[in-house]
Amino acid sequence: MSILETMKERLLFTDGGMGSLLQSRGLEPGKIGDTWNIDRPEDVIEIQSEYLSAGSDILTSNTFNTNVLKFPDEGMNSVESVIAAAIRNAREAMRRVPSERERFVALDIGPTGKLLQPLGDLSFDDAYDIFARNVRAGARAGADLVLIETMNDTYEIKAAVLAAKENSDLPVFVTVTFDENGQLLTGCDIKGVIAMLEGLHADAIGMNCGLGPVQMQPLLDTFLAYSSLPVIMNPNAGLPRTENGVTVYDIDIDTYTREMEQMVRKGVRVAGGCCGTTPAYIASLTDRCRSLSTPMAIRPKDDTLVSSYAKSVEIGKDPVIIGERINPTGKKKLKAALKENDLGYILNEAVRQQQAGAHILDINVGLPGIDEVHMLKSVMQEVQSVSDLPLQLDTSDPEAMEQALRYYNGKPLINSVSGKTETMEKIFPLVRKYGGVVVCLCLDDAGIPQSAEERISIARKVRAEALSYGIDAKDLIIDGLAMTISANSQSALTTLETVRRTTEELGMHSILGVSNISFGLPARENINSHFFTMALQNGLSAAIINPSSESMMTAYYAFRALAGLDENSMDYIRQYADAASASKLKITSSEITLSEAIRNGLKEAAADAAQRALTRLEPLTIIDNDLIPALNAVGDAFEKKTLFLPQLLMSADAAKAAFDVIRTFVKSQGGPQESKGTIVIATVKDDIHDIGKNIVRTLLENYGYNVIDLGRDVPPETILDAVLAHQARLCGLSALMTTTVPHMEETIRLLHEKAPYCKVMVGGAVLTQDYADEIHADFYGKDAMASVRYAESIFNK
Amino acid sequence: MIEVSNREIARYLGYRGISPDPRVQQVIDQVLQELERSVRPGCLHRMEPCTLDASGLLHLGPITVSSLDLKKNLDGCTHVILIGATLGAAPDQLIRRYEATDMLKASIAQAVAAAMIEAYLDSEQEKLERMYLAQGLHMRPRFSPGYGDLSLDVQPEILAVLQMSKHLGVTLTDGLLMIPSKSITAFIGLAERPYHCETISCQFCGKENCLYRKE
Repeated sequence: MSILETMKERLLFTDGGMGSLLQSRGLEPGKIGDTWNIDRPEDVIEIQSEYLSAGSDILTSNTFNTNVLKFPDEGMNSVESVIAAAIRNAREAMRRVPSERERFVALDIGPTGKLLQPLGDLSFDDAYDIFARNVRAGARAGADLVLIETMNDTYEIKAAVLAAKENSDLPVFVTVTFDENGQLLTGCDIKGVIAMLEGLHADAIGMNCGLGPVQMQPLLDTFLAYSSLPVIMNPNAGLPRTENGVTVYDIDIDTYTREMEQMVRKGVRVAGGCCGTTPAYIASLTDRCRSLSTPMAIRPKDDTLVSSYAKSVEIGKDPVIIGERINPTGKKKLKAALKENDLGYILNEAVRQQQAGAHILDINVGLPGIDEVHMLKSVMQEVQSVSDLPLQLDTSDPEAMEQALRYYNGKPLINSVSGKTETMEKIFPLVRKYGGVVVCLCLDDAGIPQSAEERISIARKVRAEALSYGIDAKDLIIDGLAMTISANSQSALTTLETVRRTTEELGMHSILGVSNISFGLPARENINSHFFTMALQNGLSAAIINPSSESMMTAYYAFRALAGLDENSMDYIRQYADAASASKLKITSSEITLSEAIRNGLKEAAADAAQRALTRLEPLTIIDNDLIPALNAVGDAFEKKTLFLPQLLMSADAAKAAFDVIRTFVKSQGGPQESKGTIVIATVKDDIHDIGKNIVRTLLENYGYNVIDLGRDVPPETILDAVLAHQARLCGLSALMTTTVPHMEETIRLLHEKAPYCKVMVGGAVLTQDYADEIHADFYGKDAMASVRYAESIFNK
Repeated sequence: MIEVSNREIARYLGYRGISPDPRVQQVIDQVLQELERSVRPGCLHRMEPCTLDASGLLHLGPITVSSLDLKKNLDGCTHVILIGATLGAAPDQLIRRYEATDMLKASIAQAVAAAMIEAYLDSEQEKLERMYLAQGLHMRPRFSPGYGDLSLDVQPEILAVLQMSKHLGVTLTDGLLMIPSKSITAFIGLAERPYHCETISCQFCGKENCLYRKE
């Protein structure tokens, strides 16, 4: 019988900690015990036999640290040999300690030991390959299941689960490590972890390590409330503390057993231990709990959840706002940004929408002439590096959707399928594989129906089809289609009726692209915001809107306050209490000159002053006579140390605001978009600290340069390619650590050889003039201002 | 709550001699509050014997290092504490978010978080200091890989011995930098006689924020 079948009939018990038992047999701290599978198999077999005697049903292979990063050497100690030996040892233990109960060997998979991009430097694909190799080896060696454990990053979990699913047919169990607040290292909450793992079709999920059973108890309640999968609990024997240089755990066997019994009574289906739980703990656990009669059926939960790497958003209880700004339809600036690969603009939009109150961000990059497969993935990953909101992946290209789904960190909202057979056939298998909540458009091969009745019937059809793919109705959200009233005055009523019946008749959640309702009409926000309120009143669960629109957000906050969703109107008050006094503040800035505004770092005042100046002066005159001299004065003060970095940056921001006003003006007059020159900048390979480089970028941009920022950890060849592509006369390189300076040197050598017209300036904490000379840099910038001065000397020649 | 001194934050921002003006201070306070809400500090430590062999190599429990500067720092020590601390991933995430929109806040968050991890380790260290003093052992200033001639190559071993990856989520990049980046590892010597600044010169001391440090 497979472990999944067995689990339906009885509780299962895992083993406890392995590391400390190996240490008590002589393994040195800091050394990896996995090689003992080969070097000292007797010790491993004896420990595992003790766990079997204690009543464990599942033995985890001694392979927590086994991966190619830690076992780079092939041959005797290759990943494959260690895993094969580990599975063999577990089987041998089972032979020595026979039982009538069927028992199982889990291929144990721990974290890679490196953090994934964007926080760390391991790519998702590399992590996947590492896990895939272990899974293949474990399956070949005869493991009964895969146990992915002690995970603290959703992205790494996703790589591991996909690797397990795509490289074996084994059941996949996953346990993660939360802190006492119920968050992973990278911030994800319990609901978010469950949403993602259910979407990826793990077979059982739970927690291990990090905490003792006492701290896990309250987290378990949340876990059980949201999980439709069997729950595993493998806590430590309490919290660790150091006693005479040795780690000990703070609860005894009785407390551990009592807490575990309570967990089993609450509904835990697989119980065991982690660090500090010895065979004696497990014996006490199995003794107390094996015969407990607990309900075996797990109630399926119907919460509609999407998640990011850091949080989950629940759709259905409280209206959800999906920011629509990252979608090029009708947005000139975004179109230009996408074409020029200007991710900075897009990221800014992402953060602004989040600040404005969006709960989810729509990501749509569909434009003629753009490689959508590549662009959607890349924009999605960049947005996930600055915003912790869940994303709505919005594309009609199934290949772009598949790539985005594979690399998304969390459980996304998917936009969309419709009643068209073709879209369902293409998209539903992807949803089934990767997980996600899908927007279902109420249209089909016959087009958009005119009546709500027909739209609801399409929704029913789509739901039935989704179920046939194994996609749960809770993961569908119905789009009743907002169509402009300028073409058909009945269309809003049809949409509203569809929304209402989606809730009342189908018992499902609804979504609308709200602003479509006013297409072709003047002052669209009037119509949009009132329609929004009407839709909310009819039960709308999620709205795709512009969260920076004041009238839309007012409709949202007011509705929540009126509909009893905002206790004591707290959110409404927080939002609008200061509204009365805010309008006064603006007036004061009107008399400040551009130069004063920049010197004092007043952003809005600088923009206002530039606007006023444009009424009487030529744009270039303003730049040359006011803007640049003011920036220079601030730069001088910075160099003389009478003013410091924060003020320099505030002035730079103010200058940028003025520049933006001037540029927009020049563009509106049909003038040229001049830049003073193009500069390529990057943090060199292996170096991941880039704040210094970013400060340099900010200043250079504010002096009017076109800066191509290649980011951090950039290989020499990529930098060369960019310099060649842009014919850049100046390149700035940053390095923080001595260990990465050789890469800087290599980059300089390459640039001097292949692009001799390009000067190279270097900077970063570790560099000095001598060091810069040694690696043949053309210039050493001791701070951000120095780089600007050097750029001026190059381009003003 | 970690007590972070304003003077330290200003020092990390490059201020010398004067304090940030009220507008900058307001942003500092705001960023500090946001970091205080989101950091999840953690610290691990372990005491090991400290010996010097004939060839001049330091044996710090299971770790062997060659470093003249650390050797001077640990002169006269019988034991050493290996210590590792982190603020978690939140500062890195916050700094990245600010970098997309607001370099002022990004650079201030960088400075505040740097001051905060130092302050956190200081407070953890004080607890240890009291504990070891009761056993008649005096602590030296901490000394981290990357100071002086102590190479970062020792980082993988420190992280492994303290199990920082498993318990704190602290990992290393290929270039041996710690991620989350607001993390510190260090050696802290323990000796039977008290330590005075005169014992070792500033050059061999890790106390970078010392008031009396000679640059």
